[in-house]
Amino acid sequence: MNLSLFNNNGFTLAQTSQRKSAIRFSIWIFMATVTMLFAAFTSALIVRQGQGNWDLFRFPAIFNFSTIFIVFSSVTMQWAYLSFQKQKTKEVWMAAGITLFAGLVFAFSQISGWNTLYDSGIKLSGNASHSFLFLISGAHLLHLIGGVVLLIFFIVRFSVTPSFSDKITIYSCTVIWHFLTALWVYLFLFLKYYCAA
Amino acid sequence: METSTQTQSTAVHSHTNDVHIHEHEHHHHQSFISKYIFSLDHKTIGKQYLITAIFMAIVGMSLSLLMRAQLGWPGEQFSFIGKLLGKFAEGGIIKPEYYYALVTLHGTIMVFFVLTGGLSGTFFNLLIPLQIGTRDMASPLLNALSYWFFFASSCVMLSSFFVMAGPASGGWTIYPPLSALPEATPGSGTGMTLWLVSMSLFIASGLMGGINYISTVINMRTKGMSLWKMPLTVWSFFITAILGVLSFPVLFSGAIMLVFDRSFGTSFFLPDGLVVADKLLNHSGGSPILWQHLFWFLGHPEVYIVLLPAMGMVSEILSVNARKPIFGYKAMVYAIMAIGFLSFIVWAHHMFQSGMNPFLGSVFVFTTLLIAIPSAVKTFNWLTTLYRSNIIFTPAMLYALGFVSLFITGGITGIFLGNAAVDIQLHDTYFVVAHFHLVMGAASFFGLFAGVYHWFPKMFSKMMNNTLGKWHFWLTIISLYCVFFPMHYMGMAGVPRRYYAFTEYEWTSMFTDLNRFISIWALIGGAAQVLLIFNFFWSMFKGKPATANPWKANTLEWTTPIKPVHGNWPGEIPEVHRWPYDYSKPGHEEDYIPQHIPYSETGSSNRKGDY
Repeated sequence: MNLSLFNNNGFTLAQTSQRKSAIRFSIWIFMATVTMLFAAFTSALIVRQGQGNWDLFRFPAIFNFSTIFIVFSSVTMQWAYLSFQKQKTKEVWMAAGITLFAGLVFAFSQISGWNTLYDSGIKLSGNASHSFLFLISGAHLLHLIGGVVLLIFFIVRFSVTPSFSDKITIYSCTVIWHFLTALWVYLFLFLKYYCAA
Repeated sequence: METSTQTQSTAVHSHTNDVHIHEHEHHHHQSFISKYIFSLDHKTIGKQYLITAIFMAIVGMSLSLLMRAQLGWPGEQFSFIGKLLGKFAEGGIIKPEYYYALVTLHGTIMVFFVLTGGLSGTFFNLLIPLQIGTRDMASPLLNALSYWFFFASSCVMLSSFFVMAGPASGGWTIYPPLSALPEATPGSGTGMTLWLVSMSLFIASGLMGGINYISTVINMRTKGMSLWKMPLTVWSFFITAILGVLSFPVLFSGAIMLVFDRSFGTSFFLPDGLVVADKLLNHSGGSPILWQHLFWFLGHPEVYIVLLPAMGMVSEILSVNARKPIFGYKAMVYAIMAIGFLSFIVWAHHMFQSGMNPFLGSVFVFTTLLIAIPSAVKTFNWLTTLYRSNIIFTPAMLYALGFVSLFITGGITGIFLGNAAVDIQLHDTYFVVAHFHLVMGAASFFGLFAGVYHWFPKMFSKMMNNTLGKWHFWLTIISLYCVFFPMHYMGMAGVPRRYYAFTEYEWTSMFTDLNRFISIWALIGGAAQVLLIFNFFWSMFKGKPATANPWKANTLEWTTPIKPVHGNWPGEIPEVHRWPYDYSKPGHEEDYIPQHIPYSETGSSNRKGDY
């Protein structure tokens, strides 16, 4: 990507191929750090749950809906990526747009799920199981918003200069998006297992 | 096959040449600000880290001297301390609450800001690109951001000295409930908030740096620099960066939960029935032990994040100044990996006495004692490297030797502390203080000092003064041993750490003289650091000009020009042909063969299996 983040210091051309693989690699290390963050949250939950005083509660149905939506958005993200590879401008536009929309729907349905929980008296400051649900789903949503910002960045750039030379932005978008989908599916099943009545 | 590789290599070379011409056009006009302040050059960023760390180290050391003043002369009125600390030391006697702030900030600053940020930031930035042969980091901008986050985090941490109630005072491990209840102690309020903000910035800085270091080592090595040709410095930096990237997010998760407990009414770490100022708190069901698990899951890898880079630099410096190949190069690498791996499964040995299940404790005893194996491998290899060598006693070499000494002395006591049963007597005593200051604090500082003396010529194109360096070394090591060795006896007698004064009980007040002895040596040791600071800044301007390869070392950084250039090598990046430890190779006229010398030029010394 001609993102200034990775191409500066006058080494615009120096060691270009090395630098490109370094950027791809950095994205994977970044995902490893995020994995560790959520591994810590979820293992903290297991330790805390083992100590008792743990309330089980009903999950709002909208969380099922949001899970389906994020999986769907991952499919369309892959579609955008493949269309980019095949240099089909129109398909890239459409698929990236749908992904963005699906991502936003996911975000709003998470928030509305929290609202439903609050209405039924499940609050952040309540039992530890409630706190963990808000903490973990909230931390995931913040990461997803990061992914949405990256996707918007790609779409804006692609609309200004519709070129297929920069493969890294779409690559990182896609990888991170799939990662966040897989992460949510894991978190959803995990939270359902430990917190749902 | 051979022709195709040759063509490829020519292609690579002509490509880098073109690039180079292109760069030159770019780089003649750099303003002062872009060159020295918001620089993206890894060498400058390394120096920025070093200068910041020196400042933080002076602060951290001054805090420890204030503590030693209190412990050595309890109740004595020091008017200058009164003037320095104002209401925190009315009449020149440090207040007990402030003593805890000193303990906390000394630990935090030394562990995170000097030995993690300073040591890693300086030498990873300086040496990784120079030793693996690349023009800069994978992402220079991310690298600069990493430094500026570190700088901001240092400023926030220091700013906590200037808030009304004083800095955080719950210890560097910030155990709840003291850290989770803003009203618990004076330092639990704004001071603790600033601590958390500062550490969040620090973690962000560390992750940006870490991602960059790993990615650079994996992807940006010059031609011929296979992993097994990397110097041990780069190996240790690489593994350290992996440890950081995997463990700091865990501390971050704990910190987030702590913030929720402090500000949003959750009870992750706060149990039932806490009463503060005669008021029963609403929190219920939380577990302070959970914080300890999360903290020490970072905390133990952290001590290796501090120690491994020092080990790597010491290995390199020992080999260079012993004029012998490092003994057991591959074993050294595997030992680094083993230590790195084991560091993730020993954390609960910090919690033996926390009420943890004793069976769980015995598992952690086992994993902890396993660390003795790779540590012994490393120590054995350092000693065998030195065995029958012609040692050149440069200040860097003295510090490398001192490192080995401290690592043995401090490491052995780790075997005692790693036993859950022995720990019943020894936990939270001065024995622990002695152990970790020797093995991790002082040893890592020695690695840092060794690195500064050894790579100063590469950083500033000047030599440091040898005589001052040697004085600095001997004063430092003698005072270190005089400070920390007696603490073992106090610890075995059960004298608890972190106490404000030991005057109340006869069995502790009998150590008053010993405490004074320690305090006097601490002052001497502290004063000795002036020699380093003077030597450092004086040599930067007035030192003898450096030669290209002053220590006759093999690694790639010494093939760069004496005056550093942007992009490190004015022409092509050298190609690597051999491992970095060809010292005193029989048949060669000189006692070293740098890594970029091809075997075709060293016919007299080549042996079967060399290529």
